[in-house]
Amino acid sequence: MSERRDRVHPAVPEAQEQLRQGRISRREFLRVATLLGVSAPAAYVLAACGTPTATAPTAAPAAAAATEAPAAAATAAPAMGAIKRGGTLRVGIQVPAVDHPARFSWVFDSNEFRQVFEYLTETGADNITRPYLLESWEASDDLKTWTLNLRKGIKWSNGDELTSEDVLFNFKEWLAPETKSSILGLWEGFLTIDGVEAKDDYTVVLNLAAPKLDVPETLFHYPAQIMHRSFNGDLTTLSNPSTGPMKLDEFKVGERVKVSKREGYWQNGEDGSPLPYLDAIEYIDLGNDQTAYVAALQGGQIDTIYDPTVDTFLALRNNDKITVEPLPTAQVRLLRMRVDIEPWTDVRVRNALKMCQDRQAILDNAYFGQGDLGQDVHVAPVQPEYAPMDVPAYDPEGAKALLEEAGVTTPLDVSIAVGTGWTDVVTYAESLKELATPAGFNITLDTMPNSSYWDKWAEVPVGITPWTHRPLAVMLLPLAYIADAEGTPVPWNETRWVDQEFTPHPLPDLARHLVRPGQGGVGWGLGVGGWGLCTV
Amino acid sequence: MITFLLRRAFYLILTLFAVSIGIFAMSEIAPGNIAINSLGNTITPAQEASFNAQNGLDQPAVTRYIRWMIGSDWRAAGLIGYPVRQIYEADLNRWSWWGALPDGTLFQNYTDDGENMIRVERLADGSTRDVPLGPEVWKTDAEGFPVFWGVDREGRAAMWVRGDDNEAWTLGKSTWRSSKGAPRAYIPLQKGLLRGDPGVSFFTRRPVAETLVPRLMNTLLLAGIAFVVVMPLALALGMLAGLNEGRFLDRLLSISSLVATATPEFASGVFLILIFSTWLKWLPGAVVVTSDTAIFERPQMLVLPIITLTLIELGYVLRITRASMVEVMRTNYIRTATLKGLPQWRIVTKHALRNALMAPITVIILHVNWLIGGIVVVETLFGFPGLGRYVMEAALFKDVFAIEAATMVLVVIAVGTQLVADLIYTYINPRIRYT
Amino acid sequence: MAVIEQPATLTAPARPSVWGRIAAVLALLGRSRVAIAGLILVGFWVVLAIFADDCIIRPACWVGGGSDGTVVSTPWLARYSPFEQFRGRNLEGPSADHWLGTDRNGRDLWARIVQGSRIILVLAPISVLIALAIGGTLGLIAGYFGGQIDELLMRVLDALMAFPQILLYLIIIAALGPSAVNVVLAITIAGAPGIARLVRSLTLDIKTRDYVAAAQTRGESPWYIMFVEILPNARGPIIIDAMLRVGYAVFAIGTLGFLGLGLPPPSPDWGSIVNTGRKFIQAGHPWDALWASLSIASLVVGLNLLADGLSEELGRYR
Repeated sequence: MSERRDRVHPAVPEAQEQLRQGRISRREFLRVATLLGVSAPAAYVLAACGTPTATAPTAAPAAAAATEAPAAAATAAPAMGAIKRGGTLRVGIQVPAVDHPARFSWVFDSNEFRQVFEYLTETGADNITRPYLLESWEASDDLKTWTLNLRKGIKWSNGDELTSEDVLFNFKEWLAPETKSSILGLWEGFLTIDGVEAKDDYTVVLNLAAPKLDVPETLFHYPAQIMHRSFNGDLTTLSNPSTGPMKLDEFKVGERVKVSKREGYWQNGEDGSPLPYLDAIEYIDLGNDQTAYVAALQGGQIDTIYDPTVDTFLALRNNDKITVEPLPTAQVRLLRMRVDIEPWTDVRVRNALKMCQDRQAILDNAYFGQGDLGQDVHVAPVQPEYAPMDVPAYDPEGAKALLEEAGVTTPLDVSIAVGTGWTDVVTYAESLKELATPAGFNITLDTMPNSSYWDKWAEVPVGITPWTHRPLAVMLLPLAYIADAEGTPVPWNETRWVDQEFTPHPLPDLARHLVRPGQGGVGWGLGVGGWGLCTV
Repeated sequence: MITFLLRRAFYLILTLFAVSIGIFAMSEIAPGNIAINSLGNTITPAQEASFNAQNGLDQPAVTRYIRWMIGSDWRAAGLIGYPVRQIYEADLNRWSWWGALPDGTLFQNYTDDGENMIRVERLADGSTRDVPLGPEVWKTDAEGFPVFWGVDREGRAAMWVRGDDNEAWTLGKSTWRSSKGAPRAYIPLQKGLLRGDPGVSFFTRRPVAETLVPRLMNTLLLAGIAFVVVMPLALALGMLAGLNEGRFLDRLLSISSLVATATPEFASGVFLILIFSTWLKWLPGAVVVTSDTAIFERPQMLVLPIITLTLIELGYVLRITRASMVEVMRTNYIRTATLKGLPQWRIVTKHALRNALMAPITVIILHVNWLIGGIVVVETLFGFPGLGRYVMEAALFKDVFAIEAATMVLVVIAVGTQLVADLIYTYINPRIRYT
Repeated sequence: MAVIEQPATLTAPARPSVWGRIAAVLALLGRSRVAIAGLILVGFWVVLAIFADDCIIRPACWVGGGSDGTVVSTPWLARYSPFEQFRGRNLEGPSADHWLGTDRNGRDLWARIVQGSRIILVLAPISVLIALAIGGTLGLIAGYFGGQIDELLMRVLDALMAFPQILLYLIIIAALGPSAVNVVLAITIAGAPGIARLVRSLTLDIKTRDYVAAAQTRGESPWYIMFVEILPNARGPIIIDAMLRVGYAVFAIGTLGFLGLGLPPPSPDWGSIVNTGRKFIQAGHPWDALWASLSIASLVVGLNLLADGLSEELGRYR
């Protein structure tokens, strides 16, 4: 750990230099610095595969499995400098039913549309967020007023110009509780629709109720695709105006999506001509069984696979035609229990199961050691809030004692819901079953297809949920671990765990903490003990 | 003969009727909440109730069954007073229902206040205009309430009650919307299975028929080719084995066919992929359908699925043919022919063949059920976009209307082929008694 | 149906002692080389299933090999527990330590295959027996009483048979969830109609025999006649059919496992082993899928050979 701590991201001195020259503000520098983890250096464990770094049994960084960029590409990336135009990229990915982007509940819902609809900001592979449809943003010193300056001259595909009216429309959709958007959880307590104000055609001001640091990152939350003000509510229809470099040609649930180049895109490529480089992208659904995708990739019928599992990684790593790009992310496999359901209401029972995890053994089995161990905090080494912590030890005897103390009759029957498509999740549960038996848990696996798991992931008493990457932990924690103003857990609070100190708004303070001048950010490790939520 | 066929057809219809009730009942009693399964667990009880009403899930099973089979548009038209019509809206890429005025104008209705009904008329260019309706449109129903039947903006027949403050949730075009003065009752419009419209899939939110028909075509293509390959090959090999009863060739064919029959499709498929795709790299190991014509452009994709699918059938038919051939060759008339000194090939073609083929052909066709089982496995294994994978996924997702429709289609195919089996059987064996 | 239902061959009504009967059957089998081959294959798996671990003398852990952790069995032929995960031994090929290699969790494949044989050899016959009880009774009733009852029953069974079996499995398992009980239920429902048809046709034939007429004259109840006079005399074809059906059931359980509808993990269900194992074929580890499908194939082949040999031998007494 100490070795990692000394490492400073190469972009940091660069930012420092920029700061010295006055090209960026101090705040900007800190943003870069903290995002790059000066205090909590992201441990770039270069695991191989598109699912590198860590699957952590419990809350820890896991598999990269590219959030927007597919990870295992059959065609090597074109050599830098020589830009080739044209061609069709064929992506093997499931095509789920979607309607409103704000209701996307899974990253791949959004992927088929990323070339068509765009975001106000973009978080890059380096985990730094930059303006996208925005030209810039400014935050007031107290972080309560954010001014978003739209890039001028962006045309929708129907010829309209992108204006603050469009942005306002999207905020209305996101912030209306009826939309049932996960975005709401990120703004809950900070922003209501009354706080969104269009100053002029290209300026939108967000008046927050409390300081918020992660506004730019939140604008890149995957459901936050910007739709035209006339959006008809179903993005699969071909008639919605879009700003992206490509237009939607075909959308067939469970089969395929086709997007192709559109004239008049606002951005130029490195060769000076308008983007996109590609003529078209085809997203091809081959079902929920990844072996079919691997076979298709090996047969050259598709060029890349979305979200390759660790099994797929094993199958492809020795194929010389396939380039595997490792990328550390904050993806995680989260074993969690609902704290409002017996016997998990008792923190001792929760802690007992937590102590039943031989984390290294689980990681070795489920992910062939490719990843980091979970520390029962939903913060990953790549996130600036991360602080190194000890990995809880495997202690079945202690767990047994805790169960006895809690007065639970053993063996305690536990049914863990797992989606069979995530083979590593199944293995995780299988390993846990063996490891927890000596402590008095009798675990059974409630297997279901991934889509069924997604139907009830927040309802099952115990489940293993894959959470995707987010650049900042402060973006994630409010999604899953707080209650709304009435004290009801937010829609994605799958544990139902609610804490007075953590809810409603502990984050502003932390945010302030993070940007305190001179300290370069403070590592933020949520004390697990203080949380009482054991296996988060 | 005609009476026999009519009788068979009658039983066929009776069977299909029983099957349809069975399928319907099974999908009805299957545990699992359709609303939660399709909308996620964040919906509230009020939203769930609205969803059930809007999709006709709150109606009695009999009504639902009738709607499923023969549709609900005729019933709705009676209540509305105008016929209803389904049109395709190209710009939205979807089908929608409208009422049709006598002059052909299409309309839908809504009200903002429960008092003034608005008629939305669709103009030729696809745009709409609102026409307010007077208070005279409210009619008193049997229970004395002033009601109005029309087509709502989502394309359902709906009953509004005047001055109603009924709150309903609509999963509208962009959001869940709560609206006062919403309709009290709905009849989801549907043409019914018998008229080619088995409803809207909860999973894809598009008409089931739209997905099902191309899938069915793909499967028929796969199964059709498999059939064309298997039948002649299996019959020929079976006869070969039968004619060489007890010799080495017979033993070899018998044992390999037994092994082929006993090896599950998933096992043989996996090893075919391993050998021909991964090691030898001769054939693609997955069916990747990038367009509607992709299968015809890259027919080699179908080779492994077809071999996998046919191995079991091949072995099975071969064994039946062999047994039948052996039996026929032992009969007296063949012995007589042999004693007459006829050449072997003449005996076989002239006398043995027709009788020996009777059993296998009947069995082959009755075996379509088995073939369907293989199709589900093979399509899952190779990612083939056919009806087998469709029904498998529909079952996993509890997509009720899709399961019902796909199962019915498969059963019609299975039962229909039995009728064909009878026809062929009667053709081959004119001595059959029509009981 | 226009298809002529062949009255199956019937063995003469005789009632020797149990041992005598077993000896007679073995003698019958011994005459057919096909049957011997089948017997060896099936016997191999039966022996492995019985002596996989010491559960045979500790009935508490019969099914599942004590997977709930309350009963820990000592492996005999299986060598290891099918659930024990060997650290760092994931996805290994065959070796002296692990005869068939290990799976992705580092579990011994030999132990899993052997314990899997126990699962399948319990579930398959049980489902066939239940199907036999239900289908047999329905067939007897339909065949013996005839008339309206026959017509109604056969229509219902026709409708059930019109269902491709896989759809029945899918609907039942999808509705009730994957578990051993539901797998048995699905296979029973799918198998019963076929048995009923067979028993009905046998009953129609036997009904005309003198000894049935004699029993009717004696004033025996229909149930007595059905189960004491008719059923035992129809046993030959029924046993052969049942043997084939056990083969189908093994096949079906495997297919359910492959489709992810079988016994939930970590159960060493053969179909599930193929399902999870085939993902590693592409990674150069075909062992899981290879051994499990070989096991299924050999067991089904064995059962088929046995049935074949048996019916051939019985056929000689025509």
